[in-house]
Amino acid sequence: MNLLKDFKNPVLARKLSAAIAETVGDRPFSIMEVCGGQTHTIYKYRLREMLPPNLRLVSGPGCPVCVTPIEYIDKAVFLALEKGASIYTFGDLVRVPGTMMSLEKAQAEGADVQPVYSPFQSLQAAKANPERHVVFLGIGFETTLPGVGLVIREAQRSGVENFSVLLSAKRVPPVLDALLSSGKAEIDGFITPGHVTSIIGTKAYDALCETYRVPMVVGGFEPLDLLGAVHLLAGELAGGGTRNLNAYSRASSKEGNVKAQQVMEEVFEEKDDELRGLGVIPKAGYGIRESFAEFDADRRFDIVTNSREPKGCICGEILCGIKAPEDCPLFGAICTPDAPVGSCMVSNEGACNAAYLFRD
Amino acid sequence: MRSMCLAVPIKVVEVLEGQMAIGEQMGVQVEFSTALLGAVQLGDYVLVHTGIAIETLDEADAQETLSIWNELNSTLGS
Amino acid sequence: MNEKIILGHGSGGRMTRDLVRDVFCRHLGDFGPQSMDDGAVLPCEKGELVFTTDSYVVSPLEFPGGDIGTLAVCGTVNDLAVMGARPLWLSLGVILEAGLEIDALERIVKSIAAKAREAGVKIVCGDTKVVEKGKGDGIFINTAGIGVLEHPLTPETIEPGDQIIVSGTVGDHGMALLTLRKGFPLKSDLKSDCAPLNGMISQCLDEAGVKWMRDATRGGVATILNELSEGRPWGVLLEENDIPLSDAVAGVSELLGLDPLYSANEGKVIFVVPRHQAENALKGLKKSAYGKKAAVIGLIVDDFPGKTVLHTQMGTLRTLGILASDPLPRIC
Repeated sequence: MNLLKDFKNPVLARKLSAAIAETVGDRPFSIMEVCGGQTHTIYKYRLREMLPPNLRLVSGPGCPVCVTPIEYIDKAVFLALEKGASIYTFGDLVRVPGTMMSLEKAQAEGADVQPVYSPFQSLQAAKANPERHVVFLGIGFETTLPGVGLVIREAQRSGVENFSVLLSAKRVPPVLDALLSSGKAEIDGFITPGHVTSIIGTKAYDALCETYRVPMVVGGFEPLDLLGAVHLLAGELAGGGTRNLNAYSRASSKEGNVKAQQVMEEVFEEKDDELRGLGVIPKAGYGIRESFAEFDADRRFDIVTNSREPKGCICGEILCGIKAPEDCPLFGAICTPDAPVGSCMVSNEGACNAAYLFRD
Repeated sequence: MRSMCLAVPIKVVEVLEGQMAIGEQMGVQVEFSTALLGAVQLGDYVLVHTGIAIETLDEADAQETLSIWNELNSTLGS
Repeated sequence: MNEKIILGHGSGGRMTRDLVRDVFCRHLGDFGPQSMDDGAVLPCEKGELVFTTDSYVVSPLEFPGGDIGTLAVCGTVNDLAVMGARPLWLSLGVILEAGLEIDALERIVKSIAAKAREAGVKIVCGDTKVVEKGKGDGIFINTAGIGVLEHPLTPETIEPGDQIIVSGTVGDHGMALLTLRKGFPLKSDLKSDCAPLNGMISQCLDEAGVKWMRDATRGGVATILNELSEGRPWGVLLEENDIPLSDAVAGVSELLGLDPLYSANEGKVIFVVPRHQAENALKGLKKSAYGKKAAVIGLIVDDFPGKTVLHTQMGTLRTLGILASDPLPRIC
């Protein structure tokens, strides 16, 4: 079997599509796909065409670039330009506008900004260039965080002194909790993020399903994975069920990846944290533990920023599922992937970016 | 480019020292860390995210999922 | 230690002359300038000329399937050829960075010579400048090209039903270079598809009434087709399943979440031909080593005027936009 191609099989997609339509009937439902990667797949394969019109898909807050506060970009720019640090980052952050400038523009001002595939590359660069201070931009949800933890642990073990991480790490369950408790977005069911769940396990959503009486289904990232998740959710919605189910069981379990959880527990601690557009949410983020303080760029450097959100941008409401990208007056006119105003337009996982790239 | 939740199934083709391995997908080889997994075996499928394997994939489970979906039409009678 | 380019090589004096003679003229031979004059004297043919210029910057300078010299000849030759011209003459301007190894420069000049020979074009004039170390990227090249127009294109005759043909697998060059980036833990047998296509194109022109053609370089197949369909009363419909893709390009695309339709090619042309001549066009293309995997990938349709639309492998329809920003520097 081919674990990529087999999950793009159009024959099975049509079967799932028919089964979904039959299951939901003509009652209206709203489903949120939490993760930005899922949003990307939905747009790329136009999966909405395969769903009945009364089943609405809403993009959620699971795009790390999108929920990273603008102050974070300002800090990275400050470290690069004022402290002369070499910035190693996942490429998507490079174009996110800060209050004054993006990292790409800082690069034109002489900053050393290096896009990487893996956080390990930043530690290797620190070892290879002892005269430079290397800062890795550690953003991400639970999928990415264990890797960042591994690198910090390895830096301490190998006694690297010219390396630190500027952390903006978010946790999915508290964000969903905040979204549900606010009651702002009217969501009937959730497709929970497959790769976050590979790490934290499906058990992380049990309490949410129970407290808010809402069904959740873990979904993967191939077209069939998402249709499969919608199919299970449709069954719950039609029957009034509120179960916590898994349509991505080949890659995620109830308990999750215990080793990865241990690494996170060792290196990071939960904290109240700000998500762009969503405000400060209890326990929604991670900080670096005191025992690894020397690798925390926030502690190591005296960072000065003066951050302001851009005017007119409604990324916050889009991230909560209250508004769609097309509702924003800036969308496609002032705000485009070439000249993004808000963070949702920058990342390929962002709802605005996907809506723009795959617009009709 | 998608990154933050992009994890791709990779077949392990070589186990290296220092909790590293080499895997392959469609003729492309990737070197990745196995530090978040237990021992990996040649031929295992793992999910690799930002150069780090985050989970072992269950092929039998994948097969079962596909066959459940494949049987959907019988319930529809189409 | 290997000999390196120093500022003196750009002085215009003896060192410059020696470099031009010992590196450029020696390797270019019959295909290079035949005098050290300030300009080339070229015969005037009847008809119309096509004139083009392109600058080449690439990192790394040498890569599987070619180097910056290969690109500098093929890119300009292909720009002439897709205009319907027979490429004849190229100029060669190089800006060298002090510190570049002369061995590397010689390899690049040899590639230039080999591709000029293959394409049947002459490099009739040239220029060499040297910049301080740190002010260049090893070598920058500009080539201008002149050709004689032999097959004017007729995009105004394109109509629904016309077939869209690509001359081979898409995305190879862009994906190959991406995997070579420093510190990138990916390995593949991907090679750049960089090639002079004037021979292949003339085979196809002989066989089929080509109405329009373009080489699908930066921005890839999707961007080029958008440029075709923009502002037209008809649309382009592509069939995702029919687009030739090598396994490795598909693999890298999956691994990095990229779309091969937006990845650069350096040896692929897209043709629009009348439906009844598509088979002939394919037959013509397949005579060339560079056109073995040519395929019909779509057609001109009445629906979606002004747009390029992809019939996805899932059976849905998706509008393909123009590449918004360069995907290559965005390593995740």
